[in-house]
Amino acid sequence: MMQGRRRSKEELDAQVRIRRIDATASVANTLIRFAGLGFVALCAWRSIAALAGQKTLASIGITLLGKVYVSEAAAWLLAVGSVGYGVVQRQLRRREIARFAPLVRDRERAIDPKRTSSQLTDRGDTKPGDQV
Amino acid sequence: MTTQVALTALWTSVSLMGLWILFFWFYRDYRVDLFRQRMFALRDELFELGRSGEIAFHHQAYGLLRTTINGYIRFAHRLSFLSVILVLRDSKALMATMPAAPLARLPEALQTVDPAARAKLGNIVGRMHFMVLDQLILTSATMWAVLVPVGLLLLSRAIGTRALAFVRRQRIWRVIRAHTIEPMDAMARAVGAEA
Repeated sequence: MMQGRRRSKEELDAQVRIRRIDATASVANTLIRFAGLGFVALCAWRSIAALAGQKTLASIGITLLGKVYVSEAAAWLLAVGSVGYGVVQRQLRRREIARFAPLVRDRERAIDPKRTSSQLTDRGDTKPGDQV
Repeated sequence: MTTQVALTALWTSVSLMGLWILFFWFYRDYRVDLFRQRMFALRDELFELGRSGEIAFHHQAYGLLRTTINGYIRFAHRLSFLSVILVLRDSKALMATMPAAPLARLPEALQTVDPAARAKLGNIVGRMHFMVLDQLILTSATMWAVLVPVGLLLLSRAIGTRALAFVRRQRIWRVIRAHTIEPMDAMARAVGAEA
């Protein structure tokens, strides 16, 4: 809607403010994500460290796998399988979006030539320039 | 720390890492897709209003609402509880720098539409805001940890007696009563009789 015309100073100021807020939130959210993951990884590392001197890394692996019961293995398989199923379904959905999006776009453009877009890619992904 | 405890801690940490990745990557991506899908459905509804002639495509209210929905779709991946807090903190300055046109406010633009179309547009705006709120709550770990249990508590209070009355009418109630409530009641009576 705003493309093709010069932006006023107020608009540019507003854009800068929004970008700044966006960047701050994005950095903070990324920090939270990785800090949490790092903390849990540290816990895993400390539990391995607690075994230091008692066992070798190879024997930890063998003991760990040796302690896995069938029920636990089934639960892990279910979890990994469910995530895999979700990922494959998502890819399928993306392909379907890519197939139908141009049809919808062309139909709407025929009725409303000044139709504005969400700027997503044809597969429904975030536009590369919009990713932080 | 014994070997058994250390191994249990290790397994727990690995599972927690998996859950963390599931929530902050997979689940969040899914929610972004879901949010976009819902917003696209709203935009289609808006487009139908334009196509049926209830509002002109060039009307300011139509343009503003479509642009707003487009903005939510485009930046759905950046919508977070934290970004909203930052926007609210900075809202005065932000609104002051917003130009009068063409990013004018939507409520004023809606007043210039005929009442029948205004009601439909208002409905779309309301659902759009509800979806944003839903997205903010269900993608925030803090909100999950705080608001969802509070919400469940309020819900259980609101429908608790009705749900209990419903369960009491079911056959399974006898089994539940015999194995949980009656032993507890009996124990309470025994303790009460001691005094």
